[in-house]
This record gives sequence, C-alpha cells and structure tokens, in this order.
Amino acid sequence: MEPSRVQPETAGAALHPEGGAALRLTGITKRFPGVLANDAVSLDVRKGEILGLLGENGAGKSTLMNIVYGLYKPDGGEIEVNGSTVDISSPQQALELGIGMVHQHFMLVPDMTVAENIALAPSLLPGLSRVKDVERDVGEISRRFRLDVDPGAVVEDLTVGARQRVEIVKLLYRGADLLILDEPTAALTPTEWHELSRFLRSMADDGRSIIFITHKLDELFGLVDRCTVLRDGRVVDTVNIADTDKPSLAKMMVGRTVTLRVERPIVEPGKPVLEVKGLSVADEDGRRMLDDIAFQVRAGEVFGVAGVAGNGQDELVQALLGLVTTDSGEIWLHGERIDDCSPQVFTAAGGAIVPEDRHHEGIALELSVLDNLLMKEYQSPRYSKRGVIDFNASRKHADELIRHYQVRTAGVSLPARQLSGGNQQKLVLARELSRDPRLVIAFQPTRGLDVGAIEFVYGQLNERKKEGTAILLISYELDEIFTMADRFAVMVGGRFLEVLEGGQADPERVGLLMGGAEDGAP
Amino acid sequence: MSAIATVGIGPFDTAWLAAALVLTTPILLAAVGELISERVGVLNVGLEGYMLAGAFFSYYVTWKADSLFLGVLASVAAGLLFAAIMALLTVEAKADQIVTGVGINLAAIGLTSYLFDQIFGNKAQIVVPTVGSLSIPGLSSIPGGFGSALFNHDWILYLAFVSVFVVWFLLYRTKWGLAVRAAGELPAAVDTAGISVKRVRWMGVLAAGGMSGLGGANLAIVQVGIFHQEMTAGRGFLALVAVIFGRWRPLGVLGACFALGGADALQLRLADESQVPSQVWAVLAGIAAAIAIYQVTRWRQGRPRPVAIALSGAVALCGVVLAAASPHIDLPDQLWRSLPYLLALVVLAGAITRAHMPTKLTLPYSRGEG
Ligand SMILES: Nc1ncnc2c1ncn2[C@@H]1O[C@H](COP(=O)(O)OP(=O)(O)O)[C@@H](O)[C@H]1O
Ligand SMILES: [Mg+2]
Repeated sequence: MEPSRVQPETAGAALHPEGGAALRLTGITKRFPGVLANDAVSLDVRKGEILGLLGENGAGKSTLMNIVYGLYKPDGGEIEVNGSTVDISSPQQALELGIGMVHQHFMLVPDMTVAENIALAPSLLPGLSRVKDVERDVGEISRRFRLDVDPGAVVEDLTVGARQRVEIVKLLYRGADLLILDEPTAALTPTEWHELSRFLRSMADDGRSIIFITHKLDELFGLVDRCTVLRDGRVVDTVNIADTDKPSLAKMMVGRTVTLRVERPIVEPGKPVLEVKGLSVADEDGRRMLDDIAFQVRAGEVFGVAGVAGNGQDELVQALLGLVTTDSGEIWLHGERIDDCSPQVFTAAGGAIVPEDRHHEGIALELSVLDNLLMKEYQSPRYSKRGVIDFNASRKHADELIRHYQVRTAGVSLPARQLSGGNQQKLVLARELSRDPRLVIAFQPTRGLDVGAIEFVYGQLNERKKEGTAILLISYELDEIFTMADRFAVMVGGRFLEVLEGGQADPERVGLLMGGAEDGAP
Repeated sequence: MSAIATVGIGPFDTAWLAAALVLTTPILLAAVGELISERVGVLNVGLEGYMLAGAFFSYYVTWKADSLFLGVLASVAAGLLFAAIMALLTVEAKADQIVTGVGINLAAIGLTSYLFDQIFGNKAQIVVPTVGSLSIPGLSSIPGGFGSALFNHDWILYLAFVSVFVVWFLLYRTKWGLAVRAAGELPAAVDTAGISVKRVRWMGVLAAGGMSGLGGANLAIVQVGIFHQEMTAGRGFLALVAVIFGRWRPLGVLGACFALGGADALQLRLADESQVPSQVWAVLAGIAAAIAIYQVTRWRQGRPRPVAIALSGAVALCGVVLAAASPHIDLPDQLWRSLPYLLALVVLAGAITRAHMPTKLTLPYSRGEG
C-alpha cells in the first residue's frame, strides 16, 4: 500500500477552496433502545475543508461518525460520497471509499507491535503479514510527519500520547481521503496538539477533507473552517468559524450560557500531608524515570505537576501507590512511610486516586454501578458482616453517592459500561472523594470530559480542598494547572525543574520549561 | 512400531518415546485447533464432543465404505459439523460459550452412543483396518532405536506435529494470523480494520472442530481400528488443559501435549509393574530441578515466581528421596493410572511463566460496546 500522498509543505492554499462536497449527510437518524442518538442530522464536508463537529458528551457525534464508517446502520437518511449516494454497511466499504477514522477509544491491540497493528487489514487467506515492510513504511511516515512512533514497539508499553500518534499513522498508512478524528486530542500535549493541527491543515491544503470531532472550544479556532454543532442528537447550526466566537459556540453546544472559569478558593494550607524526598525510580532497563523528586503537598492545597506526557508522571503515580520499587528516596503520607508498599497501604493511610485511564484503572466496566462505588469499602463493617455483603446498607450508600455526585444512570445495578464517559468519571470521583481521604491524586481528572463535567470535577476537588484534603493534580493540560493549582512543579525528563506559585506564573515561560528549556528563557 | 528398545533410562526408552508420540497425537491435534479458536476468542468446552464424533464417524465410514481415506475425511467433516453448531450458537446468536460447549459434549456422547447401539449393537465388534505406518526413508534408520521411534508412524501423527509449526507460521507471519490474534484481544480493532470478526471467529471454531475430529480418527482408526462408547475418555479436556499450560502459544502447546502424552505412555508401561522404578523418580526430580533453576534465573531478571520455585523445588526433593528409597507403593489401580497426569500437571504448573489469556476469551463481540 502506498503510505501517503501528502506534501506537508504545501501551505498557502485558499482557506475555503471551491470544492464539491466530499461527504454529504442528509437526515441521518439513529435510534438506540431508549435513546434517539441522531435525529435527522444533515451536514456536509467540502473537499479540502476541515469541518469541526462540536457537541457535549452524549450529543451523538461518535454515533454519527460510526454510521459514516459503516459500523452502525442508520434508521434513516442518506449518505453521499463525492456526489454519489452510497450504502456503507461495513468498515471495509468505508475504507474502500477512502474514509478513515481515528476512533475515540484506541483500536490498538495491546500485545501486538505498532507495525502489526497497522498491518491488520483485510486480505485473502494466506497473505503474508510482511511486518518488516510495514515497519519500514511506518518509520518513513513517522519521520516525514515528525510523528514520533517506533514501529517495533509493543503497544501496551506506549504512553497514551504515543498510542494516539500510532492511530494517526495508521490512518496515513491506509491513505484515506476523508479523515474523521473522534476527539483525538484527549491526551495530547500542547506541542503534540500544535503538531497535529499543523499536520491536519497541511492534509486539508492537499485536498483531503477532515471531520474533527471535539467538545473543546479552544481547539476549533485556528484549525477548522466551519463547525457543525450537535446537541441531543440534533444539529443546532453550522457556522463559519470566522463569523463566531467562543461564548456563542458554547451556548449552542450546551443550550445555556456557561462560564468556563472556575474560582480558585483561597485556603490557608495546613500541615504537610504528602512528603516526597529524593525519590528516584529506574525502569527495567535501568533508565532513570524519576530523578531525585522532592515536594510536599499540604492540607487544603492543590499541588500541580505540569509537563508533557511521558516525562515521569506515570512513574510518579505508580511510586506513590506502591506499584513500582523505588531506587532511593522516601514517601511519607500522613506520618506513615509508604514507599515500596502497596496500594492497600496507600489507601489505608488515607490516599485516594483518580487515575488517568478510567477504563482500565478507575472502574470495572462489566461490574455494576453499585460494585464500582463500593469496591474499596466492601471490607468495612458498615457494608459487610463476616464477609457477607449487606446489600441494603450498600444500596442506600450508593444511592446517596449517585445523588450527591449527580451520576446519571438508570439504576445502581446497571453495568458501568453503559454510562457515558462523564458519568463514569463521576463514579470514580464519588468513590474516591466520599471516603474522606487525606490525599487525593488526580491524574488527568478531566480527560475526555465536556465543559459541564469539567466544571463539576473542579468543583468537587475544590470542595475537598476546602475541607482540608491535600490534592496532587497531575495534568498535561496547562490550563488545568493554571485554573486549579496553588503551587505547581514543571516536570521534564523525570525531574522537577522548578516549583512555581499558581497565581503568578507566566504561562509562556512554563510552556518553554515544559518544552525542555532549562531556565525557561527563549 | 518397533519394539526393539536399546537406549534409555529405565522405562524412559525409545519404546516409551514411540508410545508417547502416538499418545500425544490426538491431544495435540485437538489442542492446536483449540489454540486457534481460543486466540479468536472462542472457548470450545465441546472439544471432547468434536473428537468423539470424529472417532465414531471415521470408524463408521471406514467400515461402511471400506476406505480409510474416506474415514479420515468423515472424521474431519463430523468435527466441522459440531463446530459449526457451536459457531452458529455462540458467534452468531451470542449464546454462552461454556453452556453451549457442555451441550455439544452431551449431544456428541448421546448421538455416537445411540448410533453405535443401533448399527453395531447386536453384532460382534468389527475391527476395521488401521492407517498404516509410513516409515520415512533415511531418517527411520537412525541407529539406537531413535529412527523407528520417531520416524516410523502413520501420516496423521506427522501431520499433527507439523501442524504445530504451520500454525505458528500462520499466527505470526500472515495477515490471517494478525486478525486471529487481534480477534481475541480487541475484536473492535479487527472490525474497524475492515475485517469481519464473525468470519475470523468462525474460522477459529471450525479449526478446532476439524482438527479435533481428526484427533478422534487417530484414536479410532489409527490406534485400534474399533470404536467404543466414550472412547475419547477425557482427551478433549486434556487438550483444553494443554492450551492453558501451553500459554496460548504453539510451541508451548506442543510441550504441554507431549508432557501429557508422555505421562500416559509411562502409565501404560508401568501398568503391570508393582513398583515404580526409581528411574521414574530420578527423571521427575531432574525435570523439576531444571524448572526450579530456570525460575530462579528469571527471578534474577526481576520476574519472581516464588510459588513455582517452591513447588518445583519440593517435587525435585520428593523425587530424589523416592528415587533413593525406592519404596514399594501399593496404589489402587485408578490412582496409579492418574498419577502420571497429576505429576505432569505439577511439572507444567511449575514451568508456566506469565500466562496471557486472550482478553476477550468467551466474550461475544457487539459493535459499539468498546
Ligand atoms: N451502542 C450503543 N447502544 C446504546 N446506546 C448508545 C450506543 N452508543 C451510543 N449510545 C447512546 O447514544 C447517545 C449518543 O452517544 P455518542 O454518539 O457516543 O455521543 P458523543 O460521541 O457525542 O459523546 C448517548 O446517549 C449514548 O448513551
Ligand atoms: Mg464520542
């Protein structure tokens, strides 16, 4: 397969090229049991255009695009590709029509290599996989587009950001003309986001069409040409991005005026709750992943860790939880030494964690909402007697949590899988924050959430802060750090470069620090 | 097979080796098929049933049509048919795989017993001709008895062992193999790559059925030339065990099957001895010690398996003590016969490293459920 026909340097094409519609949807309707996910949705994407598809979680964006990709069969409506009506009943047909999609959840097999994942393609029975050839092509693509991807790496060893790059390389490799990206930026760093947007622009200038799905308003400006806004399965409007602004888009998206700002409550910090001294961790090959990390998080304080993904954040969290053995250093939580212990010790000492990847570490998708809420408390005598769960007490407690944390679910016995992303995250928060923890580690707590849910998460964390909980906020989103943190450190290459005051830091300088400039000077 | 045994330690001589290969074959065929099926995400509890159907129909068709070749074909067809029922129910209708598999076993036992009664019930047991040996020129004359132990067997046996390497190649070197491995891990990735998950899963289940059917033929028309009710005697279940102990990898499955087949051969050889020869204990101790040492070296590399080390260490110690004391043990016949299996399982349990079960094993795939 020809890897790609893109010339990344072809800049300067007209912003709104006169092209026909690469894709036109007319009256697409899709009904799931109990939900009208798409209600007569019509939109079109022109050749050489980037169309934003904006909507809150649950608005029906993914459903619509899965229909275009042949995964779901619509209940009504028509799809036109390049002017002719088509019937797309399988992804294979979509691929043949030149439609490529990066899905919201990674479509990467964890125990196969990057190249093997990309080589996965329909073929006649005995075709050789030729993984070596694919590796070469993938290496070529990744060099050409400066997407740092190691074709021989096993996917499960990759960071979230790296997996995202693999998905994009996969799309390039398959050589699609219409690219659909379903919330591709959930885990990208500012630099990676910058690279991606530049890259998408060059793809569009080259005559391809792109549908860029997001619920983040900031991402639309400077990237997309037009934007279609979806709410509750219906199209609210399609606007030229040049003719609109953030507040009006936000209003269209949520149906009310929203304030994106969250007030940072001022709390007099108390005694140190978490103390880390000279912490170093090496990986299996002896590389230093954490290098002499030292910091304190005090009661009633949000301590932020800013930095690009893959600079030791994962290892820091694992070390705090007791999941990796440390080489040197000490970790103290509420006067108890917890390095090289276990998550049980961490929890018993008053620690709580809102993990980065809620599907793998935050919740058990197949278990019920009730089980997920009480997972860490079933042993407590309040919810079980002599090893037998007291269902009445558990249920009552779960109902309370659902009400207090506004988890939208049809019942506590539903599997967590059936909840939307935002509600799953609320489930995690409900379980972790309701146990009156002394320390909360919030690792990318708003990843993939919409504005309303982000506000809610920030509100809950600030609530805890006012109650005197120490909060360690690790985030790749600089905005998040600036909004929430009282103090924060910039993490690069496993080290803390500098600890800054939340209110006073200069975002540009922090950006430079994160990019590896030692003193933050340009 | 040649009975001339010249090389070996006590009962572990070339005659034992030849018998071990023969007894490994039916388990191996079923296990290799099951390996493919489990990699696509379908667990065939009905493996035993496929084998039984294969055994019966190979015998029946060989007798009726007087053709061994047609008999072999019939065994594969019977296995495929039962597997097709399995695939229809679990892949298409998304029925529970374990319940369906149990049903398949019961159906196969019922059907073969009924047909056998109806057709042969009041006749004297007819022995059909068996698939003959095919001695491989050159190789079969390797001295010391090894040539005839290794290279003087029926073609189904060769096929079984060759299939291990063929399947390895298919899994790790072809596009089909990529789809198979992905289908059991993340079927959505297969689906979005434009490959039908159902088709891949069908192929996996059919592979298990066809190869198990052939395994059944091996029992009926290679080893003995007769059929009797429930003659598979749990070999389908052993194949399921072998896939687990083989860590879902072709070479691992081969090793596990050989351990089970070797144990079975040992049991047969010792059946009329009143005492376990001390060499058996010595060999056991040797293998267990090797495993213990292997696990200790892995520990150095930071992959501790203390339980496995303790287990294999303990077995090694017991082996040494028993070899030295060589006690006279009077065991009930049944226990005697199950002893090698138990030992084989202990050894396999110790040798296991990180087992990676296909993530979506037994789970049906539906679009849009991640
Ligand atoms: N496979 C499915 N089965 C049932 N309901 C679904 C399924 N997929 C999505 N939905 C529902 O359809 C609605 C739209 O979901 P989705 O398209 O994922 O929204 P978005 O991508 O905009 O966040 C939601 O209410 C969701 O719960
Ligand atoms: Mg979505």
